[in-house]
Amino acid sequence: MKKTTRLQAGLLVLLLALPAAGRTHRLFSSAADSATDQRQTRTMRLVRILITSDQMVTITTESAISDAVSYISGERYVVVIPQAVVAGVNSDLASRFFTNLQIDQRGEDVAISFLLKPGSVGRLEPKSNGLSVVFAASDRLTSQNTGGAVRGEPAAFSTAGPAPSDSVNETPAVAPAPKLDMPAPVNGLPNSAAAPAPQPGGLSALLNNLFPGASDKVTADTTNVDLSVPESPAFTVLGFTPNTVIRPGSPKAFASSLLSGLDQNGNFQSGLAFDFTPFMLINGENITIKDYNEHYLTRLLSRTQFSFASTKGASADDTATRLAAGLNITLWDKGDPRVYHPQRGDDDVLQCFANSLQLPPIIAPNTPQADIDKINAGNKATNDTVADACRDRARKANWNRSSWVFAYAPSWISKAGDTNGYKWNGGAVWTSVAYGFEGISSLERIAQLIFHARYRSRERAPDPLNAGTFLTQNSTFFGARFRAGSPKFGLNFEDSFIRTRILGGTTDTINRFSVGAEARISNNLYFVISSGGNLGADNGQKGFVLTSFKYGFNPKSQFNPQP
Amino acid sequence: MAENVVLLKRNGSVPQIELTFGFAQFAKYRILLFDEQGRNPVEIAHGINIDAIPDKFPIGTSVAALDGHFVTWQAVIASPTGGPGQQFSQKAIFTQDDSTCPNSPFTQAGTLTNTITTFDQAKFQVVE
Repeated sequence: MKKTTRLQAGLLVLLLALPAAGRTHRLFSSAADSATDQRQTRTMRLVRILITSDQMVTITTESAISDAVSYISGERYVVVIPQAVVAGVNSDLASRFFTNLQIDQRGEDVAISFLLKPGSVGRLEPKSNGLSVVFAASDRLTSQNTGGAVRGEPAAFSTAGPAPSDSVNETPAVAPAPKLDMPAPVNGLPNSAAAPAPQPGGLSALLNNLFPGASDKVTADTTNVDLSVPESPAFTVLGFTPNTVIRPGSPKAFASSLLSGLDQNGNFQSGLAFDFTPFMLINGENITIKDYNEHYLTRLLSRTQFSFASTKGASADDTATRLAAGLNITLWDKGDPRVYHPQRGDDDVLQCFANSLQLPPIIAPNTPQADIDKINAGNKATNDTVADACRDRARKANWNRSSWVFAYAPSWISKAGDTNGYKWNGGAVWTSVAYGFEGISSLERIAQLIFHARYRSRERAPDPLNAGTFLTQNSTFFGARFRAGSPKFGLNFEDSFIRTRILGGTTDTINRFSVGAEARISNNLYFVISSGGNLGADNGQKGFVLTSFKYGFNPKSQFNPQP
Repeated sequence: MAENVVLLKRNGSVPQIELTFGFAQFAKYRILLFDEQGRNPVEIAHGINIDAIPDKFPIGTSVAALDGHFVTWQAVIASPTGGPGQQFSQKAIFTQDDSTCPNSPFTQAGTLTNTITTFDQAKFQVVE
């Protein structure tokens, strides 16, 4: 009962806390979004920090800083400037509003934090060559700047215009000069790409009080169960990751070659690995995209994929030969890029191709072949870039479309390695149904619900009680996941039912769940909160067990479901 | 480049050209008619292979006037899925009186990495 109450309290905190975390101030949010998209092409900015008066710190660079963010962490006011390095710091003045200035290089971003004196607050003001951090007593700036921010959590600062000039006290300061801390990078690496650890008090204290065992790790993880159907089931069921997979596109290319790799037990294996779509292989020249769009059977057959794997142990300890066949069928897929949806505009890859791909200049008859090749190669180079952009856009727009995939893979083993001694060695079946909330405008672009089921027989799994040994087990898995989010906010619920029967041993049934959410604070900073646990019998325990509750800051998005 | 020659019956109907693209790949194309010297191009058609418009078009207004003229077809073929192991095939089929013309169709095929730009041509020869 106590644990159930604690869970309810935790969920309540989750719901209350995350919107606050998500309110973190961006100086210019729209510009910041576009800046995020442009990160890959931008160069690092050199910023200089100058304490110009006791209530103002100026951060200068070549141009305006439009993508800085600020938040409160404990007693510190933190300003993060993406894609920047500090070129210099000048501190001759003291401040009545903060006693310590700390500069951290977090990967490609600079974080400048100020240890605020009690009753002090800060805010950002844009400048033509950077920005200013303006400090004042909280009663002067609270009404327009703090936005009800709670100390200890990422804070929401108002973006509404610069403060009136009289909000800054021009009286010379008498406080001691702030101490400058510039931690040196360790081994040449950036000084912790992660965010500052939550400070005592505020959200951290609240969470710690509610969940004494909570983990405030810098990186918070959840179970993140794999609910996908393997593309090449034969390789999966053998636990084999071949170095090379033959994917012939034509009968002529359907040739074999020896492959090698390591199996899941670390044994070196040699063998064959094929992966092919028979219908395309045999009949591809006759499959037009119109046929594909108009006939379900053509789509079904065109995406039905076979895989085949054969491995043979290459060491004296393992002379067995294993075979597996695999079948992967996409029963339907509303995100199939070959299906034409002109109403989606450029979010449909085919419509984007139609709008964007360019034909080459007119080539006259009897033009020398070398000239034709040159023209066509130049045109291909241009179109390759365009086509990649189309696919990328369509993938992002259609990431959550509904689909249903099924896969099956039987396997056999010959322990002596001869061709006459093959015996059944178990198999696996998988299916995943994804629902993309099509037609529900508030969800269809941000959410996805996935149901997944799989059964594996004679699966080799590490023995948790005896390191280095393996058990043979049959397992049944049902799982579901709801994901919703955007680059700014992510939410993830997972629940899975697992029944495992060790051959010649015990049967175990457990229900695992996890819930997590994240909010983007800056480009490389995500506040993450997650919890997980087991329900049911697990190693003899009954009832609900909350096995983890974590919160922290991640440098990368963990729950944003969008590609 | 070996010359493709399309034989047309003088008393037959106006020929037609149809472009088909295999392996369920996207294509954007243009078909042009040139005079005997390979000059003065006139566009027969342009289009894409995913819309509702058939990719089959009549060429010229009379068979006799086509003798010695050239027809070219250019296309950009792109894989909707991308990724390795892709193939393409492009086929130009000439018909007259609902029958395939001698020497037709003309095919190009091969591996496809992302996109490919193709060009092919044929010369009309009118026979009795």
